[in-house]
Parts: sequence; structure tokens; C-alpha cells
Amino acid sequence: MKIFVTAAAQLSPIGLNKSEVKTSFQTKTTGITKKDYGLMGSYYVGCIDKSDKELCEKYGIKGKLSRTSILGIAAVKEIQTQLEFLHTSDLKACLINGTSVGGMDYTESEFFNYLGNSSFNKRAFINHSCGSVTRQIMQNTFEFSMIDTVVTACSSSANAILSGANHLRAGNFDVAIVGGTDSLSNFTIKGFDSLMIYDSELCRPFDASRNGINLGEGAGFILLETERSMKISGNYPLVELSGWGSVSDAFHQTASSPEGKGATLAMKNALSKAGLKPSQIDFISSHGTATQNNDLTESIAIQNVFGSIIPPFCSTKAFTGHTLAASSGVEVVFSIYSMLDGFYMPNLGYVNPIDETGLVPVLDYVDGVEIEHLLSNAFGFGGNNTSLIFSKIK
Amino acid sequence: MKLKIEIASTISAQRTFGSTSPFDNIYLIDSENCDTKTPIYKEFIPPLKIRRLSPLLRMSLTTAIDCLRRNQRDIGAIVIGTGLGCSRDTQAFLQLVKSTAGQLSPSAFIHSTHNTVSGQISLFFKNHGYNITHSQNNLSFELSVLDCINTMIAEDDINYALLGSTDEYIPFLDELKGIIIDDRYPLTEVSTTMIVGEAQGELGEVVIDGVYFDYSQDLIKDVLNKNDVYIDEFDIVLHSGVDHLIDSGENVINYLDFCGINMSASAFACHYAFDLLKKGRGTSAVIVNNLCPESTGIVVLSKNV
Repeated sequence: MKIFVTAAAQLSPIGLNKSEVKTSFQTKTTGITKKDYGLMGSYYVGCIDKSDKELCEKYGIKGKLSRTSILGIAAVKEIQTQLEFLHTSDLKACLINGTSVGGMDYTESEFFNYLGNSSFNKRAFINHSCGSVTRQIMQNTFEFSMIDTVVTACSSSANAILSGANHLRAGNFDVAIVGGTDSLSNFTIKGFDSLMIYDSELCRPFDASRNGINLGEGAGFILLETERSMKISGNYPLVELSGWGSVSDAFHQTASSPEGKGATLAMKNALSKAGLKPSQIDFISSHGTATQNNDLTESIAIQNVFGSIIPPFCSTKAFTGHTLAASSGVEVVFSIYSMLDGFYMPNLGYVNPIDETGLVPVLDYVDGVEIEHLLSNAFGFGGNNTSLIFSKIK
Repeated sequence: MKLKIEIASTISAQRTFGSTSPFDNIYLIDSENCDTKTPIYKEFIPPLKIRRLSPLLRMSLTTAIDCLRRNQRDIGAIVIGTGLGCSRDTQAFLQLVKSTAGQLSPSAFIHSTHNTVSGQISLFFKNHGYNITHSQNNLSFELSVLDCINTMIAEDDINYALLGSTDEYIPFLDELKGIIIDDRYPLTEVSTTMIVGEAQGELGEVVIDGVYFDYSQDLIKDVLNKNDVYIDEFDIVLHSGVDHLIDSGENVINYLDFCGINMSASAFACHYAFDLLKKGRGTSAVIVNNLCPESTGIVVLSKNV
């Protein structure tokens, strides 16, 4: 059974729609700025230039919710017009959302009040769990037949996409809204800082001098359908989700194996599922966090799979910051934009190659290219490695 | 596809671990007697590693090791549910953030992400298979069951999966009792892990026939009927406090009375049902989990006779 993407939407620090995102790529303008963040002082972070209030007004969201929920609701609402058919058909739809710390941005401040022996809003913790975010997305968008939250750290939304594909193939549901959402929090900023992998400058994926991540916020969701559902929905396929692979690196809780075993296996499995040779991949949207460890091991894994002929590749993390669980959802939507309009996304911040591998990412926006097959990588703590392949509709 | 349960292991407020009859002597728990009955962890996990693991990680890794020691299968997938994830490490890191200036120790942050459980299991066994964590409040276990079914349909080379669900207690949760957490039962913790594979139709095997979800405000009876699940047809009914809808009897069991409240309580119930069916207390069982409002999960099991 073929799985198609019939709608895609994202909110990220470089825009809320394709035109804004494309302009950022064309002009190589990052969405990351240095800001005072909560308790922590100044950090380079990727923020969406809209307050909670503005987003709630724009998307008709009521009540006090975490920003993670607000971003998720907004992204799903962006594709809600393509869901209208669900009201008049008996097609079953599921929602699978990836998030890493759920409503932490809201509840951590209440928890700090609790720790400080101040009064705190106990009801706020209804927003805390990862599952509550997904629940709130449902409550604000559509009555899905099933909702699920996947939490595999930074590969969460890639695994949400994979789970959705498996649901359609198993015949559990006819369509699936899949992706992820995450917002900034003191918890995550200070967490990556404690690991000493938060760059105090703008992040530089795949550059020899890279020194860690910048965090960002965002949400990205796609609508997965089958040939059967599209006959009823009337939606047109944008791209096909042709391959996927998800494996465990089984090396370390937070670091990738030096030989990039998990990443290599994930990419190979995705190629095998798609029935493609490495030479047929036209572009790689890499995970590219800009940590020493990730970019080296991902480069090695790419060389393991592609040998000496490496497809054009980039990381968009220097545009958006690392949006954690949302990153794959956001980057998949970027990738779909690039396949539909035929452009290469550039990789900001790169100057010199990593000594061990010498790989050079795409440095400038390139128009007028044909991307038939695109590979998208997402790797997370716990050794979670997931690769997805999207193919152009013939 | 139906899932055969090969073996199960549970650490809980009952003496369920390490027994061939884990549920034979269970008793009603109360706030005075709801602490976790932990095994001697060093019999399962190297002592140096134990020190670095929270109770949640110790419990879940130990039940996984116990399953694989007793039933050495080639595990192609590790699928774990957790409602609240690594709460103790999350709280510990938040306390550091609040109280410490300068560079923080990353230990608690490293172990705070929900998928630390599935990651630690894969790390321990050097398992390179599919590895995923589902976190949908009270329905995390049920969604993990469904993922195992999907994965075995999708991947021909995956014949067995490690399926589990786990949640831990932290004192802060007491603050939320009566506000957003039911205060009729003690707050507890549980880790249940199982080895599951595709049902083969063999005599005596216990299988999960199906799993269903509902998010409406409908009465539980109507929710069940909507999914063609009729309580009267089951020999064993395990539920999370909906007994007013069901005729009482020794095989109608409110599992929260024995397990207490945690987001993985239905995984405890699934092991309980597996044990009862294995022992011949009946040939069919249903677990009705509506621990959280407007979030019902239904798991249907049977024994092949």
C-alpha cells in the first residue's frame, strides 16, 4: 500500500508558511536571535515571532494552554481545510503527535513556585503531560478516532510519521495527521547547557568549529492518506512517503556510536523499504544538530551508505534552532516545499569541513533543481535513529 | 493480527515479581501499604549501573531482563508505554535549575526523557531493533499494544517484541490528588513487561484479540457496545472503577484496588488477566481502562482452548 502526503503545515522561527520559509532560505536569514530566556540569562534561541495571545487570536484557541499545545493546534489548524471531508465521510482518522517535554513551558514556572513554597496553580498540571498536549490538539481541531503521543526525544515526530504510516498499512485508520510540536523551556535550555552542548554563539552544523546546538520552537504536521482515501477526500498527493527505517543505536544514552551504526542502519532500512539505491537519493535533509558528536557520526553514517558520491545535503537547524521533538515534523514540511518548488535548502554557518569526513553541505539556495527522492534524518537521545524517504509523484 | 503473550513480569505494590503465581495472594492496598515491592536489583543489573538509575529505570530494566532470562527470544522491537515518563529525574533536574547557579550536573537531565526506559533496555541488550515510546496518559500501554500489532504486520522479520508500560511515584503527585488525580486510591508505581509474538493458534496460548479507544463522554457501557464489546460475554472483567455498570462477582475485578493509581495500571491488569487465563479461571477477559476522564481503552484477551 502506498502512503501519500496530501497536506503539510509548519510554524517555525523562519515563518508560518511556504513563502516566508522560502524567503528565509533565499536570503539566508536565520530565525535565531540572542534573547534573555526566563531564569537562564541570554541564549541564542529560535523563536516564532508571535506571542501566545496573537497565536490564540489567529487560530481561535481559547483558554490558557502551554505554548507547545498552541503551536501544535495552530499547525494542525493550518491543514484543517483539507480535513473537511472527514465530516461528511465515514473515513477514520488518527492524530499522532511527537513532543519531548509536553507542557513543560507552562508547568515549570508553577513547579518553581511550589519549590519556593509559594502558592501555585495545581490545575495547571493538567497541561503537563505529553499526552495532554495531543489531547488539547484534538479538542481544538477534530474528533479523531484515536490519538497517540510518541516520545523518542529529538526523533519523536519522525516516529510519529512512521507510526501513522503503519496504522494506514495495517488498515486501522484511513488517514493520519502526524508530526510534532515543542516549545522552549528553562528545563530544556538548561539541560542542553548542562551537557555543555549549547553553543553560546550561533550554531554551525557540519562546520569544523561547531560547538553545539541552539534550541528553537516549532510545530510541523502532515496529512497521510492512501489511494482509497484520496478518492473520497478529493485531496491531491503532494509527495509519497516511500520509505522509513527506525532502529536503536544501542551505544549510549546521549551520544551516537563513533561508527554511526544506528544512523547507517536507519538510512539503509529506509532505502530498502523504498526499493531505492543510494544513488537515487537527490537530497538529504540531515539531522545536523551542530554538536561535535552528531555531525561527525551522521557524516560517517552518510559516507557508510552513500560511499564517495554524497548527495547534496543540509541541516536547517541554523535557521530554526533545534526544535527537538518537532524538528523532524518541521524539516519534513521544509523538505516537501523544496521538492514541490524544486530548490535546495542551504546550510547556514558552515565554513570549513569536518577533518575526518570532509563533507561540504549545500551552502546557497539553489533554484530550478529536480528532487525526485529526498531522505530526511532524525536522531534522538536513547539512541533512537529514524530515517524517512519522500518521493515525487510521477 | 492477534498477539500471543509469551511471558510477563511485573514489579508493583503487590509481590508480583519473581513468583510463578504472581497474583495468587494479592490483597487490597491502602495508603499504609502501597510501597513498591522491589526485588534485589543487583541480581539483575550491575551494581555500578544501579546507582545511576532512578526507581523507574530499575523497575523497567529489571522486568525486561526477567522476561528475557526466562524466555530467550530474538526481540525485533522494544515498545514501551509511560504516562508521565521519568518523573523523578525530571523533578530532580527542575530542582537543580531552580536552586543552582552556574554549571549544572547533567545526570538527571540525561535520564529525564520518556524514552530513557526503552533506550536503556536496548542499551543493556545491545538491541538494534525498532525502539519506541508511547505516552498518552492512561492509554500509553494500550497504544503500545497496538504498535506491536502494527509493527509485526509491517515488518516480516520482526517476530517477537518486548512490550511494556511503566510509571513511577513522586511525592509531588500527592499535591495534585483531589485536584486532577483521583484521590480514592493510593498513588503507586508499576512496571509490567511482556514478550509478545504473532498468535499461532496453539492450544493454551493467551492472546490479545484487540484493543479499542474512545474519547467521548458516553457511558462506559455504550462505549463498549459501540466497539462490539459486550461485558456479559467475558469470563473475566478487569476495570478501573466502573463496577456500577457491571454485575459483581469474583471475576469482576477493580484492578485499582490492587494496583493503586498510576498511568500504567492497565499493564498490571493485562498481566493479571494473562495469569488468570493461564490458570484456567476462564477463556476470555476484557480490561476496561478509564482512569482518565473521556479516555477509555479496552483490551480484549482470550485463551485458545
